Amino acid sequence: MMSASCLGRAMALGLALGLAGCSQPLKFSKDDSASVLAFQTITAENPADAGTFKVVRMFYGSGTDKQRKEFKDSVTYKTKPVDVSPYVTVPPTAAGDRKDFWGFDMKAVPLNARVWYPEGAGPFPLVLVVHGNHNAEDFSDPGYGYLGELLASRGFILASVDENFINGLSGENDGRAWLLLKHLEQWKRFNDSASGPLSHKVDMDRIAVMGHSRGGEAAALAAAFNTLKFYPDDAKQKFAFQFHIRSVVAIAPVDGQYKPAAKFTPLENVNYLLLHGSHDGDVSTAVGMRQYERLRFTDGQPHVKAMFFMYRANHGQWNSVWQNKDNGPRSGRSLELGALVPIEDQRQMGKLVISAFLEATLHGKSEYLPLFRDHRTAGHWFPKSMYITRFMESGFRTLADYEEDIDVTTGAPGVTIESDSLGTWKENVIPFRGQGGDDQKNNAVWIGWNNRIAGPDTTKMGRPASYTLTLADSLVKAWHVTEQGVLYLSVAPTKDKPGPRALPKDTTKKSDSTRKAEAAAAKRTADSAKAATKTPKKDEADTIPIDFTVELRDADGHTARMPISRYGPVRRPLEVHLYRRAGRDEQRFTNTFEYVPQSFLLPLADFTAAASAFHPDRLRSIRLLFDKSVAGTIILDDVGLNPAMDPKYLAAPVKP
Amino acid sequence: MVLSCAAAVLLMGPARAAGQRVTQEAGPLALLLPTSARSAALGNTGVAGRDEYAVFQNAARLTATTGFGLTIATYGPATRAMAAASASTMGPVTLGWAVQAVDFVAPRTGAAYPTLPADLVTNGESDQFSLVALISGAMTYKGFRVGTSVKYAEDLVRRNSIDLPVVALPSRGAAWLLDIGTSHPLWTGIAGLSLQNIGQPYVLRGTRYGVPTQLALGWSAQYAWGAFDYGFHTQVTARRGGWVSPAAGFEMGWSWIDGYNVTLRAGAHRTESDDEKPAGAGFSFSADRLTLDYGASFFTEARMGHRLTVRWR
Repeated sequence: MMSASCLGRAMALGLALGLAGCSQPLKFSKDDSASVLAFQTITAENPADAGTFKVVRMFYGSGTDKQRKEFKDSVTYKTKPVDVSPYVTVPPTAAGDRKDFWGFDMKAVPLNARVWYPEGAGPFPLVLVVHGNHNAEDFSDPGYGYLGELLASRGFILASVDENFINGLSGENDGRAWLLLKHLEQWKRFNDSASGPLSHKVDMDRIAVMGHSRGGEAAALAAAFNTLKFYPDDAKQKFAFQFHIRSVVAIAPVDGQYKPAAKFTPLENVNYLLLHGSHDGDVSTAVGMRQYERLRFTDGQPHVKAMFFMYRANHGQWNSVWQNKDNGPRSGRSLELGALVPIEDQRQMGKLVISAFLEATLHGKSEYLPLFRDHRTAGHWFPKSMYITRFMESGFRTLADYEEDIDVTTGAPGVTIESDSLGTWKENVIPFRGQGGDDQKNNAVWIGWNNRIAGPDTTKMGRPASYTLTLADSLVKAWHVTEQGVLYLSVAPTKDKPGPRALPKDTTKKSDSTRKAEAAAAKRTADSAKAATKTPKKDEADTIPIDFTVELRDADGHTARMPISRYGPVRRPLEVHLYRRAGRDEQRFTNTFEYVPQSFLLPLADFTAAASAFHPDRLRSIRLLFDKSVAGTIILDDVGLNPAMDPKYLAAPVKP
Repeated sequence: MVLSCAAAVLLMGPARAAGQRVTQEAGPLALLLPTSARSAALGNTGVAGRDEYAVFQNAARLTATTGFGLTIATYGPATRAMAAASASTMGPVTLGWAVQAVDFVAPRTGAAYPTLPADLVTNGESDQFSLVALISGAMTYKGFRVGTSVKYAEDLVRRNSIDLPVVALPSRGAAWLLDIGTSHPLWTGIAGLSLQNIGQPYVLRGTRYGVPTQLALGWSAQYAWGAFDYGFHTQVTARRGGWVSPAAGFEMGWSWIDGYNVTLRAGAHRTESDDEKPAGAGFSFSADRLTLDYGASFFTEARMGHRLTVRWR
């Protein structure tokens, strides 16, 4: 029979194992921020710094709110309630309790908001921000005060809209969007009124809508609804908004929770900024990338879209109420909060990119545009973390986006594709990391190579693999490609690595120059292989950043080459471990990383500077030459050109 | 309707057959014992409970379970008990079963039958066995959870004395019983009401014994306080014949990481006899899919009953 002391020891051992054995150590990708963010070439003032305007604060709302004192006793403007019931359904079992709590039902919801605005005559651009889903009784709208103080000091009006009363429901994001537009109607009345603090102070021609989480989807929806005459799901509901919404900001948005006419929300001709954190414990897949992809620029006007994927940022720290409780008040039990960047850093990043984006798109301060082309131009402004950035402006023309057909050898009309010595060459849809097969609704090409020749000699290399897009003469002429042009590539390195290639039979005769070039490339690859083999640890090979050469060739055969790494970090996927429990991430996600293609913009002027004989106006082919990393696999998307990019985007170069 | 039925049954006396006498209305023994370590620690509350063993007290609290669970108990060197319960949901209905069995040695039946919980820790000469098995169904109707159980309960006296090989008289007394119950959210918790053990008296060795028909009303709630979870459990049980037992329990849990939890529990209730002390206590440890619940019952002369529930989900 087990003695009491033995039983006690066994229980203590069990408890110790339980305490220690179930958690996992912090795991991060290697931080390269010290080098990536080492430079600052934008010379403008930091847009995250307070501006010169004195900030005035006010509230508007029903004046009768049962739960919100500020919207009952402190409103500067009283607003009439609106009927959101065509867009928001409350389950009958919850309707009574909700009405008891709020004092109203969906047929008469208030238009409440807290406002920060600059003191002065104006008119000032108007920015509406709306929170997302959260505990309805833990009011979310005060959480953007840090943005309100900043933006108002810089000459914007920010209104943080109260939609707490529809939190806790589902399928209601159309209602969130419609309410934003009803707030804009209210703002038009404020502005048109003959008196009052906002009379003729609002620039209704320069409007941005911003939202967080479900509010992020609602912001894009509001921009889409704004152009419509009827509610897509019930044309009995007429829309008559037509506001001048120029910009949309989505902070960690959801996507597809509401689908107008059963489609993902299409969006056109607005500027779009997307922020998402790698360690988002709520919207754990960066689904906002789908909205980013769906945005089209079709009106010939200058527009821009950009995304910042911040490593170790979460969902809630962009709202000072939500903080780090992505899974509710007990988040610390499940989520690894120690993995997160400090709250101040995450908000600083939000202030920086949101302010820069609004300054550029609403105030016309083009000096901040290079920050979106390449965030390294503002390295000193960004909090130390790693960022994957995406960017596209309305001058982009597609060479290959891999959406058009199932033929891997074709791109856009006039573009053919070929490869040499690749281990992987396939087109597929880019997956999200979550389980269940959800994907980015965005096709791309997987390109894998291994320059090592199979066999016992691990230093024996073949000629570097390559992937080439050839452009028809007519295409280049029609586009009028100039030295001010820019080549776009979107690249997401993977962890995959094809096996060594079989030794090919050399059945071709080559010219001396080709042979010399390939021999030199093979030597570089071999050197790279030797460097790689010096690393003793077994798993390190797949974490070494990938690099490759982009080679442009003109119709006369002149080539110019630049390394892709010059135009941004080519990182392996950033490791994300959200949960404290060992193995939980692997249970819940297919991958412990998200594929976020990094945008690389390569000015053609750099190529002409490297090889003066090369003429961009006679561009014939774009070849990705995998001569720097022995092996690897990348996902490539959105290969394109802006034949003559607005120099404002290129004003701040990146230091080599 | 439930309250009306309850009042009618409580006011109705047990049917009596000629030549037989009703001694007490408190048997079979398996109906009187706590069924899980958790309920033992929480003062035998459970009519508004939230685990699978709550079905012993209130069919409406039948909740679907996954995995496997078992409760084992010991009250002394010659007493062993086990209990198990399980349920699954099919459409709008939850169906379940539960069983509790006790094998023990008690004082001679002639001297003390029906047996009471305190007899489990008393050395004796009567080799006995007690069982309750039930099947239950529950569903939600107009916001109320309603359920019913059909129970089979029996006491078996194998030997009346360790000196005799077998007993001479019929030694099995069994009864078919019915429970009906309901529960509904109330304030920040759950209220439960259950009319238990509706049935006819049973006969053992020529004597009729009444079943412990009783009405139980309870309320339980769980709250969060910082890193802790805590819960209140209250219950009042009124048995036909006028015996009333108030009960209450408190538990506080701490989870330092998702899936792991420790909980301390204490409770008290009015007991069946003075030999059983009112207090109960226990603790729980959960590690992912495994949960261990321990509950202790206290008796006079420093004797204890130990109950361990193991769950694997």
